[in-house]
Amino acid sequence: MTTCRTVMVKEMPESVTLNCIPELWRELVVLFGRDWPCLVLDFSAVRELDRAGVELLLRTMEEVVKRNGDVKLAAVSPQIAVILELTRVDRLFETFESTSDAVTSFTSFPFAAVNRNTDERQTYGIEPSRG
Amino acid sequence: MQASAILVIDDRIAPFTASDSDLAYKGRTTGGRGPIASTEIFGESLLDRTVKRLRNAGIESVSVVAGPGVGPNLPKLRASFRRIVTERSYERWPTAQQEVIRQSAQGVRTVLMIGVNAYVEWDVRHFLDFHRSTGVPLTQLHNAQGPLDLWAVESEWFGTAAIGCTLPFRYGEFPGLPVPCPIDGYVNRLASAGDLRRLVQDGFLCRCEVRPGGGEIKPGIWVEDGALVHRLARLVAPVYLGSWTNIGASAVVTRFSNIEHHSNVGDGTIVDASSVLPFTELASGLEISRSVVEGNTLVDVRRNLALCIRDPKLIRDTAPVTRWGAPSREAGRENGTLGFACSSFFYRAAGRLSEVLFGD
Repeated sequence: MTTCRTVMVKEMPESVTLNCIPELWRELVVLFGRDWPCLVLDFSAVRELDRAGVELLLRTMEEVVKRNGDVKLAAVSPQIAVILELTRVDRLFETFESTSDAVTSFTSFPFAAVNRNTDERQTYGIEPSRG
Repeated sequence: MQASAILVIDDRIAPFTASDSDLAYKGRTTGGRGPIASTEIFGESLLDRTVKRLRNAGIESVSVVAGPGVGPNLPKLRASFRRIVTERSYERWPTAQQEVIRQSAQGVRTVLMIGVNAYVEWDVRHFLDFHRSTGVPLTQLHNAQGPLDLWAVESEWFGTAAIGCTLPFRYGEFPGLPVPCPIDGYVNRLASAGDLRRLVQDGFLCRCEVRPGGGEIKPGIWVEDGALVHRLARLVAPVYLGSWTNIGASAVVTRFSNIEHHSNVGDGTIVDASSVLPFTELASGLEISRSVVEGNTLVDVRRNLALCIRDPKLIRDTAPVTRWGAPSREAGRENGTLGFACSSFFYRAAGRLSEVLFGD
């Protein structure tokens, strides 16, 4: 686990499955057990995610939101992204390509989101309003 | 006897791409999934359709060279074709070679050799007439994209001149052979999950001869016998539900999706532009979008990614040990169908959280 300013980065293990959930939960409780927690879950090493892992993410989000914080995911592999989409939790979390992007997003204006929206408008041929 | 057919089935697992086949194979459950030839679309496999096409053209002698898992799924047809089982995939074409020689001795003049790995709409009589009119011993079917694994072979020539050749036939092995026979009918090579989805969509849109079976209970909604649809479930045309499927409460099946026989869709699950192949159980609260699901393996068509899901509480293979038998619905429930209801709590919680945070 590494700490960068007030944003905490938690490196997730290779397997986020039922067997390792209790230990992982204890570690996460320590991280978000204060006000305004800013948490980045680094998924770069994760190869396996099951329903219990998804529930862990939901509980983490729930607890963090209670404390007016936010959780973001970083370096999610395509395989894990499929699981997140399948279980419909992908829309709850902001995901970033790298941990540094996720950490930066807590302190900077989300230009990436703005650019993405602009790209979508161009893709669908919608002219931005001039009014 | 003038013509016969030999169908060779390789072990390419449906509906996975070559790059992901290794992952898919390793992750397969012991229930076992057949090759692409036995993958059922709208209740009928590629092998079924090929044998029917041959029978309709008057070819009665049909031999199928396949692995041990293929064949018994053809209850109407298996009595009338010769089934040759070889354990290893690489033994199949040499076995077919021996079968041609055997049939030659029995007086068969022309043999159609077919590798059953693509869906091809072809006129069998026209192909045989073309083959005979050219006067050459070997003809191969071609479409605009290239050659197909369909050959017409003169058995006498094969038993003498071509005795040492390697099968399937390669260009350059015999000078000037095989002669290409062009066709312009519908062809789907089924090389990836995307191709399989395209075949389903083309079937719904009447672009090919593949048609949903069962009764059309509403415009664009085909339902086979024994399918159970909860009164709160939504079916948005065009969709197909195979026999003994079960669609749970508040589930949504939409946009050219096909749920094949003995598959279950859990409460609140959305199946959108996807194919759920036989004996597959989807848990509650999932969203399957642009995918092909077979047993515990999900292929994301957009990402071209095959993923084996080991958690049976998400996606589960319910194929019985004797896969091609007809398992009772009660047996399916005993296997834990009801257990999925417990997990739905968390997905409902996710939905609520989503509403609160983002106003979805």
